[in-house]
Amino acid sequence: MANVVIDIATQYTGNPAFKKATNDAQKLEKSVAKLGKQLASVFAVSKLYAFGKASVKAFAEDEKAARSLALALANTGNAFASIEVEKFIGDLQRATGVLDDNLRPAFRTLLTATGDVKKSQDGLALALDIAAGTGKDLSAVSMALAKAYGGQTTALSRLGAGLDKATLKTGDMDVILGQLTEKFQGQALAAAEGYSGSIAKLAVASQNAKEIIGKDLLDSMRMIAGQDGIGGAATAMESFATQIGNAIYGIGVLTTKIKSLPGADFIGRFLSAATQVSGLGALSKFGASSKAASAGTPAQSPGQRKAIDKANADALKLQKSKNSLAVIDNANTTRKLVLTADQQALEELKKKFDVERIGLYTALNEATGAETRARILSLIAIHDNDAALASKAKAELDAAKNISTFADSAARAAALLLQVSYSAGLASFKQSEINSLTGGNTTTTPNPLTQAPLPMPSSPLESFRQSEAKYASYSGNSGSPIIVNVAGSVTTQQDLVTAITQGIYNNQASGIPITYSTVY
Amino acid sequence: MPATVRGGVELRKALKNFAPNLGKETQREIANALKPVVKEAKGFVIESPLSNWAREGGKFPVFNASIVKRGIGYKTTPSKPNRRGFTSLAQIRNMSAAGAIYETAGRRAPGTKPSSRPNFAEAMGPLYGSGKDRGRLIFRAFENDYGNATKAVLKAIDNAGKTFNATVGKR
Repeated sequence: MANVVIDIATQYTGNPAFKKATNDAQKLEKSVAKLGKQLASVFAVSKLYAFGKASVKAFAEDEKAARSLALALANTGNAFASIEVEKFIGDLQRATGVLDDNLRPAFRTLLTATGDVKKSQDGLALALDIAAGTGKDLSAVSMALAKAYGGQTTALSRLGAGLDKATLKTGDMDVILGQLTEKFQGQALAAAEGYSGSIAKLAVASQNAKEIIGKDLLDSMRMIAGQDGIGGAATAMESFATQIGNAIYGIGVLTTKIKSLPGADFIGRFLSAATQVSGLGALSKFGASSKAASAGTPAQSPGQRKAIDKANADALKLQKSKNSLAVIDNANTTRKLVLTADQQALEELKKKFDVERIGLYTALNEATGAETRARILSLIAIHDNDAALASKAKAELDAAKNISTFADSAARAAALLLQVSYSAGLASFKQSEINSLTGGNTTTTPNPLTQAPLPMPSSPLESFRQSEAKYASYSGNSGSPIIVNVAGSVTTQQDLVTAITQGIYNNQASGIPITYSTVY
Repeated sequence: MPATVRGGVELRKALKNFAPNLGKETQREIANALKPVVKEAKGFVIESPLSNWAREGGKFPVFNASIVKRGIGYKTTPSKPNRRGFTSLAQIRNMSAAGAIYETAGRRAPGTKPSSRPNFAEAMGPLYGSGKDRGRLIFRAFENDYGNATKAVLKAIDNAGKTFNATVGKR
């Protein structure tokens, strides 16, 4: 993009590159400082650990060498000179800058060869001079001297000390030592006075410091261990482990025994609760978590690790998506509930002003018959889509229908009985009239009911229908009295009597001349 | 060489937050100071500096006088800091590609890259101004203005600062 501009007025607000560089430099500085602190702390801890370890090791080796020397002195009958020898070695160490770790073995070698403390001290001093003069190792020089004391001068000749073969051949140690002393006297002290000597002395001081610290460390451990010392502590640890093992075994045996007892379940629960509440439970949990943490994951290749990281990231992403969806779902649910409540309120209000519903309820209030009420209730249920009300209305409707059917059957039965009674009365009347005219010669018509019994009805209603049909076929016949047998329990006896009585009253009202006396 | 002020950006922010009417008035004053230069610069745009430049085709921007005129304008809001850390409070700009080429062609010495061919630059006429601030449109108009626009802009900013301190600063 073309960018040709004339700046009319400007303000220096700082160079962004400089600012960025400054910020980056500050960040880098902070990071380096942080890293330095971390490294320093790690280094300090690791160094402290290493120093402590080296100190203990140095003291242990020093003590071992001192014990070995003391034993050598004792074996050579010079045990009384032990302190003096240690002092001599210490002084020699400080003067020459050679560690007592080297001086003690050399002195022991010479002591073993000579068996004399004074000779060994002189020999060690000479060996130090020869070592400083020839650059050979002190142990090698002292070994050569020791062999020379034993009559073997070969090693001495190989030191490069400049001894002639004739002198060596004599094997006279006084001569040999005289020549060596003449050649190398003062070499060790001279070497200890230079820079290298100073460094050697510093090294000696450092080593001594280590040994002192190591001794204190071990002493502190002994102090912690108690009266029995380190050995006692080790024994105690082994004993503790044995006791723990026994305790675990005992718990196993106890658990097995408890299981076999009646009511063991309660005891088991009690023990479990006690374990959880007590410190043992907490210790157990701590141990389990520590064990799980220390178990870690098995070794993985970079590809596997990458795949696992990707899977974890995907799972996290999926979980986040699920969470967000759940939040949306909850919000929708809440909104739906609010809308449902609003809808319900609207429905209630709508019901109040629903003209058709109002009309149905008005009809329900004004209805007198049970069946009508049930029908209106059904309509209301259909209108309101109310299933509970619908089932209730259906039950009421069925009940009303049953009652109606029953009442209808009863009414028809009553009407039939009335008709039968009327026919019977009429026939009786006609027979009496005929008898009065014929002078008593009567002919009795056989009753068809007595000759051919009616088939057994399957129900009361069927019975009534059969009876009705039967009597209708004989209604035109006149003659003998008819005995009416009503099977089943259509109605009560009183109702039947009332119905018949009402039929007779009706006949009388119609002008039919019938009385109780004529009928019965 | 643009005039350097101190506190101009902060004043703009303060005006925007505490005295928006005064801020708008200041911007209007700055715009009024820059409009004559822009108008004159647009007047320097000719219909076709080179006969073939107006032809379509190729990657080289086609010269269209109306587009070049539309690309010349001003800006009264602070810009982002440039590489040296300067924020511009008011600018006169030539933003179209062809306008920028017409403005600056031949500004660098022939033979140094990037540079336009001598014939191309010479055909468009001489450059006006001095040093890097040389050109044929806005730089020419700015030079002809003799620094009046700069003075007016600085005066507007100064007046706005004084008014702001006199009114809002005393609250």
